[in-house]
Amino acid sequence: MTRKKIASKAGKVGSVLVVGGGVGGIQAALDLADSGFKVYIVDKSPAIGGIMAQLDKTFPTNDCSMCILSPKLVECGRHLNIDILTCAEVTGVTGEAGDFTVSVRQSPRYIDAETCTGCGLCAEYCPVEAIDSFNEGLSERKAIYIDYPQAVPLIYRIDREKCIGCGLCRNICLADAIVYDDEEESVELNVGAIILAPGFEAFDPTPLTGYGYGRYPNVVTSLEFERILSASGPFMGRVQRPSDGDIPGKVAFVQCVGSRNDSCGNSYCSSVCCMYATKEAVIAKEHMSSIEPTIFYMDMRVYGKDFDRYIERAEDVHGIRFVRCRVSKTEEELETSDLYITYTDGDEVRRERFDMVVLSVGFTPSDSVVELAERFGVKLDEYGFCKTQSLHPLETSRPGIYVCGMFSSPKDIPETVTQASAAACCAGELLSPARGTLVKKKEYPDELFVGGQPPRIGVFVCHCGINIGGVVDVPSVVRYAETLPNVVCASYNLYTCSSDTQEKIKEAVAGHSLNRVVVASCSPRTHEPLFQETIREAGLNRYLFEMANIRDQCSWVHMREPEAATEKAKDLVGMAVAKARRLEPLERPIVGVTPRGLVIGGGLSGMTASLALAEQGFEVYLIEREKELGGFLRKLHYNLEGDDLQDYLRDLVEKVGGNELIHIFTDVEVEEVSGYVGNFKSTIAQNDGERLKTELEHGIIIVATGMEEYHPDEYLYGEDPRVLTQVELEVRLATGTSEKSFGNVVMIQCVGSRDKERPYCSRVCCGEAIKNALKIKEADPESNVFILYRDVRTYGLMEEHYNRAREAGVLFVRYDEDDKPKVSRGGCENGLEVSVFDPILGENIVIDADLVALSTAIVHPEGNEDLAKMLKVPLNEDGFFLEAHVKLRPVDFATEGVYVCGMAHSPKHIEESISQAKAAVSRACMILSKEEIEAEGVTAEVDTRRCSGCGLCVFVCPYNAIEIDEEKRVAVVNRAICKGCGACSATCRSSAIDVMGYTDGQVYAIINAPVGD
Amino acid sequence: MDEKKGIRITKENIEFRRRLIETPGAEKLMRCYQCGVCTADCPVAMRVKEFRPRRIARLAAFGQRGRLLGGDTVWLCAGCYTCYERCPEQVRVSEIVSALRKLALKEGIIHPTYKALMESIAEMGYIYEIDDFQNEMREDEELPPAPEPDTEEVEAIMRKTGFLDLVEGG
Repeated sequence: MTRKKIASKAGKVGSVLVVGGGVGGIQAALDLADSGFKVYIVDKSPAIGGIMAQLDKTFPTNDCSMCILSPKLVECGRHLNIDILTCAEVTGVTGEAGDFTVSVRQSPRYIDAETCTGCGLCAEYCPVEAIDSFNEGLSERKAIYIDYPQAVPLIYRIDREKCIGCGLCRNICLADAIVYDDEEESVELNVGAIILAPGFEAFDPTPLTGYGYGRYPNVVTSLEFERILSASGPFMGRVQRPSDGDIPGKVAFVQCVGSRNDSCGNSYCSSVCCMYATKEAVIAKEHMSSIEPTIFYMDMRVYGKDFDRYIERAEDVHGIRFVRCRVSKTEEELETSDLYITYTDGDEVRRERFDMVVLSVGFTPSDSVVELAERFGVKLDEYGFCKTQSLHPLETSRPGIYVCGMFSSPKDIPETVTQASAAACCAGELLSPARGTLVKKKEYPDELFVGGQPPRIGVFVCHCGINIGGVVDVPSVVRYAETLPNVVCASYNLYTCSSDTQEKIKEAVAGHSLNRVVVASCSPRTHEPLFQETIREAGLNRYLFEMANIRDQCSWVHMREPEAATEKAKDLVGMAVAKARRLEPLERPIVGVTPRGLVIGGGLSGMTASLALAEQGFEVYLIEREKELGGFLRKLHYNLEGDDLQDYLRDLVEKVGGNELIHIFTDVEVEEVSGYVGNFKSTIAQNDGERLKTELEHGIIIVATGMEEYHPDEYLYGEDPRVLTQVELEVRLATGTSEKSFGNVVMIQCVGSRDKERPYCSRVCCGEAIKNALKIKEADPESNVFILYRDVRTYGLMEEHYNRAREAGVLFVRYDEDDKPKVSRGGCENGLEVSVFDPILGENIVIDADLVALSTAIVHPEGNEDLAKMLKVPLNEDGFFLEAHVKLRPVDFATEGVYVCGMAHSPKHIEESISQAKAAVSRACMILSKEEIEAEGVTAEVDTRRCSGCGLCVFVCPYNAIEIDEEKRVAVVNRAICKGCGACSATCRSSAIDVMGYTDGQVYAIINAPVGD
Repeated sequence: MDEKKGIRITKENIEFRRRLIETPGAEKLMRCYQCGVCTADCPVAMRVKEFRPRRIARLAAFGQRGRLLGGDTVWLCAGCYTCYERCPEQVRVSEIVSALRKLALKEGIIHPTYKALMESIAEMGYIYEIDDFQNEMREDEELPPAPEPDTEEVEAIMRKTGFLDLVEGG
């Protein structure tokens, strides 16, 4: 199969190849496909999903990994403009940025992808058992298999190395989909840009023989433990020892296995293990309260948003024990298979027995990346990570090929998702002239007319593996549903969200002439859109759908009372059916889009976002509160990688200023924002006395308000000129007359961070201190630099610079929050003395300091609160903007069309701000690239006969969606702005406002159902 | 002396650290991030409370010459190289201990036990006396009796290498 050359007039092809179908690849693909580009995902596995599909829960929210990933998998699978090529590998790339030709080799599945329904009958009959690598080898699967029930695409595959060719599957397959003589296929793709998201492999600890992995059955890797915890894992979520199936008592988590280890070649930090180990410990304890987890760590590297709070909770609420000591060996007691760990606690050497040991393995680029890099012609670094420039974190060494996720450095899911959107943005910038040239538009069948027909309701009850089925008696819920009036069919599914069930629902709608559908499964928040889409595809209006959440509200909260949980599930289904009987079709208003963006904040993030929006072809209003652009970047001069930041800033300001699509307003503030996604109106006012106003119209808003530096009132700051903040030191190092001698420099970390007032980590300070320490050692090798820290949080590849600093002689001394260093005057030659308790020696260290640099906290800028109110978006407890979902929607707000990036979101490094700014633009382009968008159908409706025009609803509406028609004296709802929250309906004294889909009649039907009408 | 309790970092400390790092074996001292593996896995530390390899590395990083070279600390290491093997940063604590012993010897400091061993070698050619009991054991293993060492030659070697001066001077 070959494809014709399809370059647009500008010589650019409007399609993108995404290599790797993990969460990064999926996000990049969805962003691009929704902003006018055709996307091909190539993955070497038989299904997309990557490692995230293997995870049980995710930190810091403890969201079920599959529950939040699955909707994205399904969306990818059913997206009209995404082609998924599984079991596939790229064999060669020719051409250049804008027009690549990619050869792809697809290995045979031995199953016809077109006809396989994924029913699983073949696997039931297959007599061959093989090791299940999806479950990390802890269980078995058949020779004909899918990795997991929610797999996309849901097509089986024959493992020909294991298959004995007995032919049972061929005889049993009703779809006649088995193709024993299936052959390798070659495909050629013509794409404009390429995004590399091949992910990573978990470090194999076998060579580190001291841990006994592979020899001692009760030593497992963290990924294996993740499967053990998973409800769909080898032990159905029962935490047990591999040796004897007993529930372990004491479980040790050993950190930094294959990370921060120069001896095994991985001297970088894997970035996520401190958090995932704590999460696994918490979840294990939630599963089996008798488990006592201990985490052996070196530095607690929990630098992300709200991570420190998570650790605190783990310790205080869940009773997780943390021991600061690296562990390098385990010993096994032969008779019991128990394990012994020796560690140092302060100066004590202790030996302790554990029932199970979990090795928190780090990440390595997979073995095949060298080959992959060669095929794509991109450069790798010494470890095998994709080489990028610090200020261009998404660009590989080959133009037109971008990178995201773990392939460029270890990172967690939100950062991978951010980078994925950002890489999509880069591709969009390159290919914007070809936008829309290769995409197809979704065609729905005409809506079936259901008016006046008696309700014919279909009920689908979900097992969700054991998530629901393990507690609730699902078949009995189905039998109950069958007895309810107007229910014409009821059935249960293993996973109602999987692709095959969507087909089943569609078939049922047609086969039983259903005109209402009820799904009893999980949360409508995550899954309602999916099911609504399904019934729309089946010809029903999407609001003829109702959901009962029998997972969160039954199986989860009543885990120990299965019978009561089943009864409650029946009630919930009865209530949903009662409402479904009264459901009416609703219409979604279509609104136009103003193809312009508003960027609030002209610092690094704001300027990066503006430039990216302009490159994508959209006009931008960039507004800055101060008189000139640049924000905090104006105070920074160099980074750890040695880039000249002032040079970069000058260049950026020049580019932004020279771009005719960008309209810059400086010395202004936002005064008012009204409107809604696609159609915002903002008023900005000059900061001077006259407050001259300008009105702007735009389709989206990007918030990039940045940060401020905290100025402390401790450590003699402000009292002694030799005590500076780290930023002041940097300015002095970069601009001061070249100082030759520094003497003793003491840096104190976490000043104003991680304390009671600001319990968050400012993330950048460890790197910034090391950066300045190295600068000082470079200028004056005779100087002595001391860094007093609480945890060195040089995550990822930054660890290299920590190593470099130690090698240069920088001395790191750890201190505890309740025993801070003391800076005092007098008592020594210099008259400035720092004393700190060194926990290793158990003694005070006293330094005659010539200079003290305080790594002060990053705090939110003034005005965030006002802006948040204006935009109707939330802030977190620390005053930073709170995104829609910390894991999978890191730059979106719940309010559509409003995005956040940079330090406004939380403290972060420069390259992370750049990625986030581009990510915000990618998300914004999903709106701006459309001429019109569909708004929500669930909105308030005024019964004008009852409305007295009192205006109470206008007052309570948080979205400013209601106005009073002065002529008619009645309230009027702007359906495009209304979010259907119901505040107006609850307030109305004359019951004149109903929320469509939640009318009084429908709500009373729900309430009355369990008690009987 | 400091009035305040604690270790005051002085120029001399930094100078001693520099000398130590320049001694073969101790080059990677500063890579140490105090993870504790060396101490957790040390068979001597398990039994002898005073011996903590991590403490040695830490004192060395602070250039605490007096505490390192005076007393028993650096002489307690059995040289099993477990810490060398297990250290993730290849700091080679066992080699740092050797380097510290070298610096001690240069300053004429030698532990009495080691001194006694040296004397015994100079005197008998062995670190302990070979008697009939030892030779009977050798015979059981079908080994020939231990050879009579040429003590004059041993002494000459020790004299020439300056070893004997150390022992006598120490």
